[in-house]
Amino acid sequence: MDLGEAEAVIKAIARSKGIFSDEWIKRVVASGDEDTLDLIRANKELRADNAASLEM
Amino acid sequence: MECIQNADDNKYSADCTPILKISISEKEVQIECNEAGFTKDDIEALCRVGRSTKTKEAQDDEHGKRKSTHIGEKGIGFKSVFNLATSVNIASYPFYFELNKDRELGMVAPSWNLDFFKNRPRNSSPLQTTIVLTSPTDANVNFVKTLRRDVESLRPTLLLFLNKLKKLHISAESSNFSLSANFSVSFPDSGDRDLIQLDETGSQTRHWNYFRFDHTIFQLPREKKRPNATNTKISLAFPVSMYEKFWEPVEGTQSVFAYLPVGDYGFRVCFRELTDEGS
Repeated sequence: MDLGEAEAVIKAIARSKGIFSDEWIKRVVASGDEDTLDLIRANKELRADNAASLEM
Repeated sequence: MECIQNADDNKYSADCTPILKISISEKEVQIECNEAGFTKDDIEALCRVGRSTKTKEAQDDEHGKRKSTHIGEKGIGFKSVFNLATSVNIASYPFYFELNKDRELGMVAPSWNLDFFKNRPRNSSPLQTTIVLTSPTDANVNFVKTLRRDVESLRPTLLLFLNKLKKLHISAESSNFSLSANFSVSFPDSGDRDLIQLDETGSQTRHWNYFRFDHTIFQLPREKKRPNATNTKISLAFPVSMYEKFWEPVEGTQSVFAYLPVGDYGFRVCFRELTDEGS
């Protein structure tokens, strides 16, 4: 794996966390995008996982 | 202590002597290790709670029982660094990234940060993985002051019961404190397969010898917190010294370990208990 591929891996991991941030969810709620809101509802556990990390 | 646990859990190539170097200054803590290097799975584990790549290496022993030689049980352990520092930069080629608890989701969302390491003075012989802690969580207390007691309490006997680490170098330097020590463990080719030699070099040079004996106990009573723990290994290490070609016991109390030191309860042998769950 070269540096470019490694950077892509790091950014992909970050994105997988970032889409569940409070700020992102507020934007989705404001947009009324029901499909994405369904995705959020389906991933409540993952959000709880991230929230637990923040509280440590 | 957490970073020593993690280093002992790392993977190492068969032809290397596992080494951990910890350098503490007022502004940062640098941890270097010659492990095999981070994988994508390792990074994902660091960025999660309740899951670690460490647990993937559990194996069955000769009796078909689950056996793990790892100390840590959860990826949650790594996040204890944020009790000490706000920012953690990790270099393990080709990965260079930062976790920062001041960023939104920064403890679990890594940020690519090659520049951090590009801008640092180059070590002439860098080890595979370097972790740098910066920005003390308590801005009023520097790293040396926070860790001084831990550093001073480290003893070479720490290496007696670790699985992989063979050398530990620790140094701490501040305006009013300085300490540097090298600990190593080896198995002298003396014909005594249970004989272990510990060495300390640095501000002082000392050597110790121990005879270590292991005993495995099966069918442990059930423990709710560790439902998979059915076996335990107890190790005893007796300090000895050579006297007229014979090994003689060395008098004095020794510590109790659960891999890492737990305390000194007056035993005259070093004592370690390890369940098959890891501690």
